[in-house]
Amino acid sequence: MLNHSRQNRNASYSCHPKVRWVVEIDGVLLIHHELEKKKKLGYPEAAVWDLATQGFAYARMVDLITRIASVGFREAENIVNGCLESLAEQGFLQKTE
Amino acid sequence: MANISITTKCNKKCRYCFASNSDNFMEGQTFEQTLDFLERSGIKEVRILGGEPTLHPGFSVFVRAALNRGFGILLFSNGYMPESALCFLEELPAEKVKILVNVVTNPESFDGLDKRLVSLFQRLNTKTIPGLNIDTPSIQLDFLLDIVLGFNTMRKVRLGLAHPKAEGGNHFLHPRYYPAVGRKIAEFSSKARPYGVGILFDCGFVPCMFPESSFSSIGPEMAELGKRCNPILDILPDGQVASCFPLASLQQEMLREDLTDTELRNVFSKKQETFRSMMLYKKCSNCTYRQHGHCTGGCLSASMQRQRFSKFTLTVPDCQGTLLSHFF
Repeated sequence: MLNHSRQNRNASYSCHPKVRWVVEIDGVLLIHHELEKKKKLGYPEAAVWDLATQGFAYARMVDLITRIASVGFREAENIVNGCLESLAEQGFLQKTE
Repeated sequence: MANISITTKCNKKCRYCFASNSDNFMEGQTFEQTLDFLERSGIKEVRILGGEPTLHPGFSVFVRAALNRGFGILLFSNGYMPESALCFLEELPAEKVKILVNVVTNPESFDGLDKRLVSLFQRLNTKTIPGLNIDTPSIQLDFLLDIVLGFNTMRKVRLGLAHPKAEGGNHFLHPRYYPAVGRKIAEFSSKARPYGVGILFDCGFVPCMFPESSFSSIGPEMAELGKRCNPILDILPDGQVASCFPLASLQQEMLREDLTDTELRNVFSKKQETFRSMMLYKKCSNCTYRQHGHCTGGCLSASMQRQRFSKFTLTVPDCQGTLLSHFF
């Protein structure tokens, strides 16, 4: 996995206003109504999305991902940052720096 | 197949209805254009609905025009029609006209049936198919069998599920109640079958709502039940076409002279492609009915009600990575 942990300094990610999602038994399905595209998030990215929608702060989110995915801090950071970065690239999240 | 809503005017106020109950009437020219569209699409039956279509001042003219062009008629009515419309329909040949009478009051028994409906079924008997739109799990269905047997209607009953409009605002049967409704339909089916009375299922039913033990009593319809959420084409009074009424706010197309039903369906299907991944229940993504092609995941509009949205913003602090690296 790419190390994204140092690439996102001072970055904020917000949900694109035209993005909706549904919870499935095996993850989360994101629907972008404006771009008319979808993305299925499996484990553990679906957990990242769920925590973000619940308003968890970044540090708490990384902490929770270490337990949810049974990984260390560095890897949890990579999972969270990789997920955020990828979703921003695809337009599901809006990134501001 | 395409439905033509010739008016949104109605004399009932069903809480699940998609129509706005206003004085929108399709013009004669638009109706002719609609018949042209059906003709070039190779569709032989004109499905007329509303609101209550018999309240359109040109109702009989429209029906006569369609019959003169060789179409059969399938009329969707709540049964509360003007006497003039009733007399007109009485005179038409049964082989050309079928009337789906949606009993909107769901009486607890046959005896509770409104007198006007009794009169309608007596006069139009063999041309009618009684039906019910189900918007609550506490439904009674036995009266439908009594209507069929008591009035000698066609040996069918039509059942529909009340679906939500994509934009919300109407009452609908929540999918959590589907299994309870499925059990009642299964019971009804086992009573109706011995009399040769079958069920016509409208769109949106899914196999998982029925007990597996009831599949054989429900009959051959069962195999196709879960696959019926495709663009139906509902032509609105102003000549605009929607994929179906519940999804009318999502996209509408003009009834152009160069389009056939297949082409229009493809336009809607393409637009809906992204949304089709949404299904009725969380469990649908792992469901064997879907995996084996027996179900597509239910009504798209109902599935879309599961969508969530929140305006979250997540700030990634500039110290991340650096601080955490101290732990290792």
